[in-house]
Amino acid sequence: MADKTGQELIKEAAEEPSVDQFMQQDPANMIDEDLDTLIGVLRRKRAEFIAKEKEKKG
Amino acid sequence: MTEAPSPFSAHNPKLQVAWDSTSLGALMFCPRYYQHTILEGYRGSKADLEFGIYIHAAGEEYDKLLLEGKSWEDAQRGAVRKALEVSSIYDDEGNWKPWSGEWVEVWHCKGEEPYKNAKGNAAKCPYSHKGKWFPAPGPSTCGECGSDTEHEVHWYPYEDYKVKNRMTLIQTIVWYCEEYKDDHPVKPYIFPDGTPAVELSFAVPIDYHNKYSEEYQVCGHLDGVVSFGDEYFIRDRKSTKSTLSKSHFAGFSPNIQFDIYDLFGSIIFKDLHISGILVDAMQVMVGGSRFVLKPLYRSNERREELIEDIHYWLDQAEGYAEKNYWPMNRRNCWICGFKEICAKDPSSRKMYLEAGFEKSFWNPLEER
Repeated sequence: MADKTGQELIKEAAEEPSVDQFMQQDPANMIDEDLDTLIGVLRRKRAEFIAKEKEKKG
Repeated sequence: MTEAPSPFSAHNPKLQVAWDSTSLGALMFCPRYYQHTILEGYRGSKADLEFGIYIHAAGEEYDKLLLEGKSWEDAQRGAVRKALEVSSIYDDEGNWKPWSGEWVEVWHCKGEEPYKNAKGNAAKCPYSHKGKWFPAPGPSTCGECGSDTEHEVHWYPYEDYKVKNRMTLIQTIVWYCEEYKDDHPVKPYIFPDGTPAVELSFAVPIDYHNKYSEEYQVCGHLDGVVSFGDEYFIRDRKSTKSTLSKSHFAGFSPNIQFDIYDLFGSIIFKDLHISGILVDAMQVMVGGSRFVLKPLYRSNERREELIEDIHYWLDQAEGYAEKNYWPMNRRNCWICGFKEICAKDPSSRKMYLEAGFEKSFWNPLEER
C-alpha cells in the first residue's frame, strides 16, 4: 500500500465497490477480510481527498 | 450494568446533587432549558450525542488494542468493528438495522434515448440527471423518454443525521487511525500498576452542601490522561461539523465541559500537574474528515475561579428547585432548541413539548 502513489490509489478507488455495500451488513456477519476491504476503500478515498486538498492549495 | 443511583436530593426530587458538565452547562445556558432537558427529559436531536459516544467507543478500542501490543492494522480493524457494532440496532427478534439512516431502493433513467423538453429543444431526460434517483417502485422503461432504467439501493441518512451518521462515523475512525499511523504524538498515561489511563469515570464530592446538608458532587467521564510533548493533559476526542479554525478552538476557552474536565482531572491526578485539555478534534464532513490536536491551557487561578462559579450556580439551582420555578434566560433564546416552545403561551407549551420532542432522561451517574 505504501508504495502506491496517490494517483494510483484514486484510480483503484474509481473501480472498486462503494462503502454502501459493506454498510448494509450486520457486523456480526462480517469477517476480518470484509473489514479490511472496507478499510481499503476508505483508505483510498482518503488519498483522493488529500490529493484534492493539495490541488486546492496549489 | 446496575441501575445508576438518582442524581437528585432525597428531600427535594427537583434539586440535583450529582452534577456533570451537561447538567451544569444546561443550567448556565438557561434555567428553563435545564428544566426541559434535565428535569423533564425532553431532548431534541440526539445526532451529535450519539455520534460522540460512538466515536469515543471506537477510539477507546483503538487505544486499548495498541496498548495491548496489537499491530496498528489489528487496532484499526478492531476500532472499525467496534464502530460498526455500536452503530447497530437490534430489535426484539434480533433483526439488525443500522443507526442513523436506512437503505432505500431507488431508480434512475439511463437517458440513452433522444429527448425533447416542453419547448421542443433537445435536452436530457429529467429522470436521468446526474445524482437524481427516485424511490422505488420504478418502471423498467422510463415513461418520459423511453430509455432503460437502472435500479440500486442507496443509503439515506435521516434528516438530523445528514452529516454525522454511520457512514461518516466509519470514515472518520478509519481516517483517524490513518492520520496518526506512524507516530501518534499523544501517549496515554500508564498508571503505576500498568493499566492505561483511558475512559475514566469520576464522581468527586466537593465539600459544598445544600440546605438539607447533602454534599454536592461533580461527576463525568474523561477520555483519558495523556502525555503530549513533555506535559500531561486530559484528552477529549471532539467531533464537529465546523472547520477546525482558530476561532473554533477559541470557543473552548472558557467552556464548561472542558473546564470541568480540566478542574477535576487536575484534582484527581494532582501529581501529574495537568496542563489543561488536549482537544483531539475531528471535523466530520460528508466527503471527508480532518484532524487537529490542540492543547488548551488552564491555570490554577482559573480553576479556583471555576470552583467559585460552581458554588454560585449550585446555590442558584437550589433556589430554583425550592421555588419550583426555572426562569428563562431570554438572552439565549435565539440559539435554543426550545425557542419555538417558549414562544407559545405557557398553558399550551406542554402539548407542544410532547408532540415535538422525545423523552430521555440524562443521569450523570450512569455508567457509559
